[in-house]
Amino acid sequence: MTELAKPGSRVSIPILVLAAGVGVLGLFIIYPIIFTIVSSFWSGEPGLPGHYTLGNYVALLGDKETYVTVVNTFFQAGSSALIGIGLGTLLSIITVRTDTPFRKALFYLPYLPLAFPVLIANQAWIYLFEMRAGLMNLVFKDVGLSSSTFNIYSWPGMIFASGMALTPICYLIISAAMRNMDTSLEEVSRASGSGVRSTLVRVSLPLMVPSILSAFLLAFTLSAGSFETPTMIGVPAGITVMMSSVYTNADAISPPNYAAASTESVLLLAIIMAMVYLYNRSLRRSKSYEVISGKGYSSSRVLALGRWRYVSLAIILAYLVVAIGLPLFTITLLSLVPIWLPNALFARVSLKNYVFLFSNSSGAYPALLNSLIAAVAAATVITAVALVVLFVSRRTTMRGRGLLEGLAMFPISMPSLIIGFGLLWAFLTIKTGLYGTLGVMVIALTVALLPQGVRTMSGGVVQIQTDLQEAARASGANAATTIRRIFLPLMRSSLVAAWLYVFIGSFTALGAVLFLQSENNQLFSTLLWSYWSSGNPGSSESFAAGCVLMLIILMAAISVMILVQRRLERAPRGAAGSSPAS
Amino acid sequence: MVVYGSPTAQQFANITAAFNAKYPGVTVQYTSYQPPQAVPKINSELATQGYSADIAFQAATTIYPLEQSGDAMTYVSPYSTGFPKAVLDPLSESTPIIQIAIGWVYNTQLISPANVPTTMAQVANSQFKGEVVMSDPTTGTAFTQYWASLEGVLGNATVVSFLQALKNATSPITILPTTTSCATDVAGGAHAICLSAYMQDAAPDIQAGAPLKFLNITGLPIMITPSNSMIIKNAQHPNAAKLLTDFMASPAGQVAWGNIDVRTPANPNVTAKWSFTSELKNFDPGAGTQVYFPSPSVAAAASAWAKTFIALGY
Repeated sequence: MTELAKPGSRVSIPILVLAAGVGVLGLFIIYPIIFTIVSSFWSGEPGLPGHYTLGNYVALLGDKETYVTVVNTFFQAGSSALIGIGLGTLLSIITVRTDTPFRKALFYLPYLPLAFPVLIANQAWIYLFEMRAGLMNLVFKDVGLSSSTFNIYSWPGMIFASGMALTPICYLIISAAMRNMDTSLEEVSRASGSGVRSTLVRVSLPLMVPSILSAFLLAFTLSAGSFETPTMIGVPAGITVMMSSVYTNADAISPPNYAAASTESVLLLAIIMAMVYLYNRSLRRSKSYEVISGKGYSSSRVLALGRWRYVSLAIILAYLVVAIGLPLFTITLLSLVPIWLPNALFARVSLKNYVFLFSNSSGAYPALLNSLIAAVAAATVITAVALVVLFVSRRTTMRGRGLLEGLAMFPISMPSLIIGFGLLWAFLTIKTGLYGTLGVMVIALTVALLPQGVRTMSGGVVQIQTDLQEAARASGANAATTIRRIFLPLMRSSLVAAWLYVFIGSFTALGAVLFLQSENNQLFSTLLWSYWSSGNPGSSESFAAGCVLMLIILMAAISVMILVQRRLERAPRGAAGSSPAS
Repeated sequence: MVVYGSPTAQQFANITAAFNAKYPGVTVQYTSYQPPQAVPKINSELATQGYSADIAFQAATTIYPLEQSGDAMTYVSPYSTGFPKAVLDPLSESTPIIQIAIGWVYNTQLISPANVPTTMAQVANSQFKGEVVMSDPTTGTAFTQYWASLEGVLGNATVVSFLQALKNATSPITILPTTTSCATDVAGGAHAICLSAYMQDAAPDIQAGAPLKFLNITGLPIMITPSNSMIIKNAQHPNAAKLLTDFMASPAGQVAWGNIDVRTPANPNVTAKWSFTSELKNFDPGAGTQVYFPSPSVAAAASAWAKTFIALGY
């Protein structure tokens, strides 16, 4: 590690502005955390009479069910993260490291399921795999495969739904890092007589350890902190995990029990912080994973699979059918019928739900515009801040640098609903003048999704060898120049991937913004939530039509990203990359 | 003027349009908040700003606890004096505007006419093992208050023994997160019986051709809960809030509500597309006694009731 910004060196205005922005952001990150911790020691509801007490912890830790719930959480989050990592790594190897047919065209397709918000995907899985009325189960029965029916309301169902939601995120991180890997190491392995499998297992995968660990941590954390699958699938299956308990206490019971929800959230925070600590410890030897150096690296060569290339093609096509084809078909069909009747699905197909959605009275237009503005703003801010945070924490010796990354990662440790409630209090007590405006939504999204930006990009930063920045420093470059001339060009894939991921996350985020909505800052996600949760006539079908519209927008965004990525690939790697590559 | 209500913004836009046709100078900012978000939002704003929205438009199961917490600015529209006494707020702090019935529904393709249960004992029978789906009775919300209110009508022994028998005979009972998903689940054939569905959930499904019917259970009353307009204490626009509340309770406002799908006015004497009497007749021809809920005591003790249901194994 080297210290780039020497005492007395000139600090640029953009850095100062960014530092001020990070400071403000830090305030809004810390507030909900402190608020939640304080609430966990308060006997009553926030703002209502009460006293400080350890009673909430005594009650939580004294209840045997708590330990069952914690074990369930580890099992559910760990299993679904493993599925996500397994599938994400397999798909990355197929599309990046092998000569699978059409691999360049197929490379981007596993990104598409990112467009499915968990709420929508779960709805589709339920309609597909409900034990008796699920479409796929009906098909299985019709073709005489009754024994193959799959019950979505079960442990395997819950893990399947969570795992499928996590796979594109894991693929996003792992494939971006894999594309940056120096293939000359694989070449050496092959030249030394190792086979494809041996090269993958002994060279390629070990080099990917930081990215895989990073993706696992993110996947585990997202799964443990997500309330959609535990409530939509876990609760009907009789499975309780920490998030379903937090959700129940914070948002399902009357009156809400925020003391209990906060205490459970703090416990979850402690578990996830422990995971982050272990992850960081595992990266202490991160120098061994730096595979992008200034000494000539190449990422263009792939491994020849022989006849197995068609098997790998079949694997990726099967994944795409299950992850995209089935849920898209289901949600689209739901949006075209007045009611979901599995035995008469095509009986009353019409565009009625879309006519409503595109009418002025639906409220869709202003909500869509708000969502686009907020998502673009949040994604841009997060990408910039995450890059600086990672640069400072991983590439400088600045005092407190670890704290900075820890601060940025804090919100992911908290359930989004709890963060959202804490942010409500933050905006009510810190007079910004933004309460009720779109600005509040941008800040809330930035706070809630910053960890995803940091975690998506961290593997990419770790891969860049320090000799490049040492060379930059020797040439008189300051921190801003080093970021601009070294990191930005070499991290293009990670940056675009992170921006897109955060954009999608911002577009679909719910918990963090639910308490902050008003007529003037309604987002498309909160509008769809109001359709889904209001129980009004036709609301679930309007919800489905809105979901299809959202999917189209997000898939369009992903397509734009694909075009950008391809253009970047054709362009020279910039100041830092072009020289070594040539 | 700011309103936090449970109907969608699109539904309330009809009310705002009718209101503004009469009072063009009053701006209404409406945000759709379901009870789990509305209550903490209102409490947080009151605790920090000293004021919140001007009106909370929510089901009585949410309004009465808010009133009991001292969050209301007492106002009852004079128009409501013509409403049936049973629909009025027993605490006299808010005005009923619409009313919602709750019943049990079943799938007509999964239960043959000969097997349709007509008594509570027949529902709690092993022939429906794995066939019952219900909204969570342990949350303290509307469905906890529903069962607790039934206990007040049928007696503790009847309700508790029914719930115990139901649990023993039909487990596993599937718990779904929303009332809408409960009715949709049964309409789609995933389960045979839903305990319990709002009429607004089931009626549109029945209209759309779903094989769904209300169960006519001997001795089981139709439970009805009103949705009230409550002016929140320290409202920033109290006069406008009173004006809107009066409008919604007036015959013109009641007609405007009754012309929104499955929104039945609290005043039974107005003629609109939807009225409570016709709705009941259409969807539950055998509807017997009608009982309004919750009582203030049930609303206040909702959490305790939730624990009772947990103790019963739910």
